[in-house]
Amino acid sequence: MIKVKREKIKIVLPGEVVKVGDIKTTTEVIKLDDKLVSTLIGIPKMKRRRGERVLSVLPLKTPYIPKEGDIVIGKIVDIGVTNWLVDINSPWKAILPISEVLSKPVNVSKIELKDYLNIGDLIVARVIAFDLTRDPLLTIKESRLGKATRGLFLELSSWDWLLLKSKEKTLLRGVKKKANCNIVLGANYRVLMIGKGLEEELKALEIVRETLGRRST
Amino acid sequence: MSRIEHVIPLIKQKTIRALLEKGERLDGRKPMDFRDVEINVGVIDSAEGSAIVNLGNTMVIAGVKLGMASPFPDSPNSGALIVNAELIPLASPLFEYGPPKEEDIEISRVVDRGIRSSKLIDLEKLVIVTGRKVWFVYVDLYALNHDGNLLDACMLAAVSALLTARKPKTRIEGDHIEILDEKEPIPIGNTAISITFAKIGEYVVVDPTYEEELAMDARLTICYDKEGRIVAIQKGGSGYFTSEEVIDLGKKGLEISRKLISKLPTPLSE
Repeated sequence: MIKVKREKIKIVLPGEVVKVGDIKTTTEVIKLDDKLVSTLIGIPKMKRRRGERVLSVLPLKTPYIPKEGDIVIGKIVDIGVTNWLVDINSPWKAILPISEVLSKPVNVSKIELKDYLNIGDLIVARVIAFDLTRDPLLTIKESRLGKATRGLFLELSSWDWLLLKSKEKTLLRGVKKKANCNIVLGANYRVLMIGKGLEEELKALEIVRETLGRRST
Repeated sequence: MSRIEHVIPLIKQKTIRALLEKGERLDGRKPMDFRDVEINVGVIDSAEGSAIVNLGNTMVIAGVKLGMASPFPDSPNSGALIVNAELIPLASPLFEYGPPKEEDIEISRVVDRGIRSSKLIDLEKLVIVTGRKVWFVYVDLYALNHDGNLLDACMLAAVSALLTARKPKTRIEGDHIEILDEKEPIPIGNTAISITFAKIGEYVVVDPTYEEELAMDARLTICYDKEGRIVAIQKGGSGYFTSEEVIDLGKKGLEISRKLISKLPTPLSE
């Protein structure tokens, strides 16, 4: 195990034994006899799930794995007959059906889907269904969800995003106060800053960069 | 499981264009600023010459290998240069394994053309026995990280690797050619450098990042040699450049190329 001295963080490598014993694990840790072996580079962590101790490894870099209820920032990449295909920075492509966009029933043969959402449009959406075997289902039929008509868009690494998320409250307040901007932290490691104009958004970007502590964006 | 698409969010495109209107770019550069270049040579022990080039976050590795072979029938007293570029999935999720695609081939062709027409290597000095045995110079380029402008990064890597490459000395005894352990620099006659411009809307920027490449309409690559002569030119994308723009960019590129040439390693043969 590599030990980062100052921070006292343990980092495990793929194939490394994290722990020995009979403990429940998440999918990134596999059991070989009584050894618990990590399958990725990350930080081992004990969690509590339904009262039980569960061993997991927090990956240093990961794509987004959808979870029901998450707010994500998606990018329309394809238009189907009755749905849109949305890239959500994940191994799965999300599906956004018409029924989750429009409130009234429509005749698909009479409308053009691209009049509502076109390829390249960004949406703030919520994952309403996902079970690892089928593509995640999105909705934008809620308040604060929908198409983003303007804003500054950032894609972060999972680690940078977690850093932002841990300081979410101060960040939101700071951006609102200093830059007069709203900031959306999509669970899929994407960030959208929406202000009145580009000036405000660039100011918000500066605050995000300060929070991250380096020029990584 | 899905493939990542070449789609840039429309909002991002708007941001890039709005910034360019003010003469700025997303990463804080001015339109005619080249990113920081970092060149490390001699990174592969088993290659005759090698280099890693960092151009911002773009990273390319180049290796030079030499092989003895019969010359091509139409040029019996000249060696040969073979450039091969590969964009591997390590560099970006957009690239896939398999036979080279259009992008890979374009890069290797443009790099090859720049090196060849600037006469960077004196191919005629690579002859061992006229008409029978010559040296073939293989330049292999691999993208390690893709953040735009792979073409200029590949050019810098290929040239840096060639400038510091060594070839083994040979001794001829009758019909037999013996390769000696002793090495000498390969004959270098010039330098080549390429500068890529991207046209986004009505604005032109140099050294586009990945996002700017997605937002651009057209791309123009100009290769210069040591004396500032234009040795090759390549245009890509579906947009257009006006003739005034091309002439103007030719001059602007020359200034940038002079700065870049000073960053190249000094040739071993000098």
